[in-house]
Amino acid sequence: MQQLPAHSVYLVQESKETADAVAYAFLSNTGEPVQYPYKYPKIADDDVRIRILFTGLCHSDCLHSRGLWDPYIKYPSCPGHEVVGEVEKVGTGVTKFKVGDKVGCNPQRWMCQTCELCKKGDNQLCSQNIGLYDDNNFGGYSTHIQVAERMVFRIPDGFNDALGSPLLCAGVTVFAPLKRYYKPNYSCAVIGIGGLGHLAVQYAAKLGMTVTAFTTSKNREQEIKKLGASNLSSSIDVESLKAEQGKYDIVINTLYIENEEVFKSHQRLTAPTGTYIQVGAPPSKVNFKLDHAYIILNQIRVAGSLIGNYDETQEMLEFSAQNNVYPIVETFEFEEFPKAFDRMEKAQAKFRCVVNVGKWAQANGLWK
Amino acid sequence: MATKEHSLYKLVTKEQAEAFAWSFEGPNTEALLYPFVFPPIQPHEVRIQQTYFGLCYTDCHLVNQDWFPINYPSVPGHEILGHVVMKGDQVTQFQIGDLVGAGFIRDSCGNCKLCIQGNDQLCGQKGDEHFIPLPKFGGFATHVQFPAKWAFPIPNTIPQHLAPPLLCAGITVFAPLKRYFNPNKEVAIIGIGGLGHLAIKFSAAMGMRTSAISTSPDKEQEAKSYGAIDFIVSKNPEEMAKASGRFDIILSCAHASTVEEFIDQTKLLKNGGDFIMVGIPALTKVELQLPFYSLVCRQISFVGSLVGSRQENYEMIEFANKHKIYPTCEEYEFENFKTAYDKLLNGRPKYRCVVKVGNAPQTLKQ
Repeated sequence: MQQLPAHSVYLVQESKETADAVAYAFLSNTGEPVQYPYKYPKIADDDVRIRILFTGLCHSDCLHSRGLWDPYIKYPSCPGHEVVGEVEKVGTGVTKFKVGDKVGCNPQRWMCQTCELCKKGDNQLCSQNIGLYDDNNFGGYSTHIQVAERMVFRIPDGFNDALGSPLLCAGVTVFAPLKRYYKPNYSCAVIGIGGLGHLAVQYAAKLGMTVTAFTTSKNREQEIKKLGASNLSSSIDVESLKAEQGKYDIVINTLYIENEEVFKSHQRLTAPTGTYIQVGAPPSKVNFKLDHAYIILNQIRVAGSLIGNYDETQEMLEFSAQNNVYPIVETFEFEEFPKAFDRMEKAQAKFRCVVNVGKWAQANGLWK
Repeated sequence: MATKEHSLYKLVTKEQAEAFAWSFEGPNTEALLYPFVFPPIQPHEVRIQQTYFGLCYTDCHLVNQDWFPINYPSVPGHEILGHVVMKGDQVTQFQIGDLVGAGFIRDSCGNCKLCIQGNDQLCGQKGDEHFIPLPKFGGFATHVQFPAKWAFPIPNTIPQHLAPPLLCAGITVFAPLKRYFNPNKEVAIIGIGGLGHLAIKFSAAMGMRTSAISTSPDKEQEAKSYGAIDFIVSKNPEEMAKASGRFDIILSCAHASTVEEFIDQTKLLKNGGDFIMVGIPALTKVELQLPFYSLVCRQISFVGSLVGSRQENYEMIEFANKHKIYPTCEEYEFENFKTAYDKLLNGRPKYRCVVKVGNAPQTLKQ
């Protein structure tokens, strides 16, 4: 077994016998992630240590760990920000959670709670915000995660743990802006029926809106309609998009399309006084071109949206459990983490990859 | 003198004319005097004899086909002020002699969803009848004829020689400021020109903490006299860096001349803030764009606004009257219209050009 490199915070172990947890970590920007047993240096007064049951894989994990966002990231790097688990241990000051509680983590690990944005409720925009994973912190590709209680979510009763972990990122990313801008009588366009889009269709339909799915996959009509779409239309055919101009009160775009004419046609789907929401982002330093003439002449809003705030995330979990909104997933064993990552990286997953972490962790003596 | 005749407005001799317009027979040409008679007034219309009218850069864009091809002759102009001299049978809300103003919108259907919801300026049902400046004759004339629905009574406490720009520049900035208003918001107005100087006055009068952003350091005193609490020179990188992430609302009243300048403007917005867009530049100008990362991860919005609804116009007139908010204008005689237009197109008026119609309808007949 290769010598594992040290980490700035976690204490690498030679084997899982002495470890608090085992992660799957990247040792460089290429290659597969490998098992990385480690101990936590401490548990802070307000920390919650979580036994992970299921982890969802998100494309952001690739963009981070392959150094595509920041080429200077430090290794070992353990991504993953869609976590469902149960509380194993709490710091002395923790009051919101107790051992055994079913909990979740979203892509944010810290909010200051004192700045104007936090006080307004938009903690995801907090200037002191820390991502669930970064150079100093391991994310959800692990048997355990340790997070301050202020950023831990209560998983509601009746929640489907095996399916639900992707909701903590993909789910809230579409739920929060839909909820923010929608009215129940609105017509809604969902552009791109992949990991984000197939959830957006479900949420929009359950919120009472009439949903049209814009996709390249005409052959999945039955399946997409079953998710709640009333109609399908092309996401890339310019003539077809022009025919749909101005028809949708709320448009949520999970894609980024390089063809400028197509991308402007997406903005032009928005009805006068409606809202266009952009959540899909390209990997490189690309600019979003505003169709400013259309925006002004039709008085529309073009809005960016980033995951959701604490309350929106909690609300999303409850809404999903009550309305049975879950992703379509491919499930992998813990030791198949590299295979799951590869499938996600190649955009082959239908629609999200989930790893059953708890099964392996328990069987391998990591629930101490 | 004009030679190209419009199908609706019969070109006649000066002696026979009911009204005189300044007409353009092609893009980038000089205006020509166009003596004419109106088509019969419709039951729902009023005819206004103007006292003063305003000039807006949108009129230049339209005449020069900067956005789309138009038919000639063209008589644009959409900052209208004058007295009702004739009205159709169905017009009950005005009497002959009433002082009224009008702006960019000519007509709306009143029955579609947008009209009923109160966004009648966005009504899509009226085709060619939607806008005042084209294809029918607009405000660059001694008289204008249009639906009474889009005429607004003007109180006599507003100085007439300053009133016309309120009907376009005024409403253009008042409506979105009111729509996005919150007493706790930090507002930045970019550009202290025709729109911007009115925006500062309106925003400050609404009680919002308003800062002015300008390329000209020497406008600071002036901006503060309008109610700005702070003044930032956009060409000063330190001042701009210091103001980074400061504003809940940015109302852009000046076109960025490069993409970098636009991106720098967006940096002044707080995470979650609104960037209000009201001015449509010529198609050949800068394409507004910003990194996806900024739009998505900072959760900012770009919101458009187009003049205002009828209701918003009534509110704007009342508000301007109450707070004595008037534009700074340069005044020209009707006979010197070409000078006013040239100043707007090529010069830098401070801040709006207004034309006095006065006795022109009589004197031009001679």
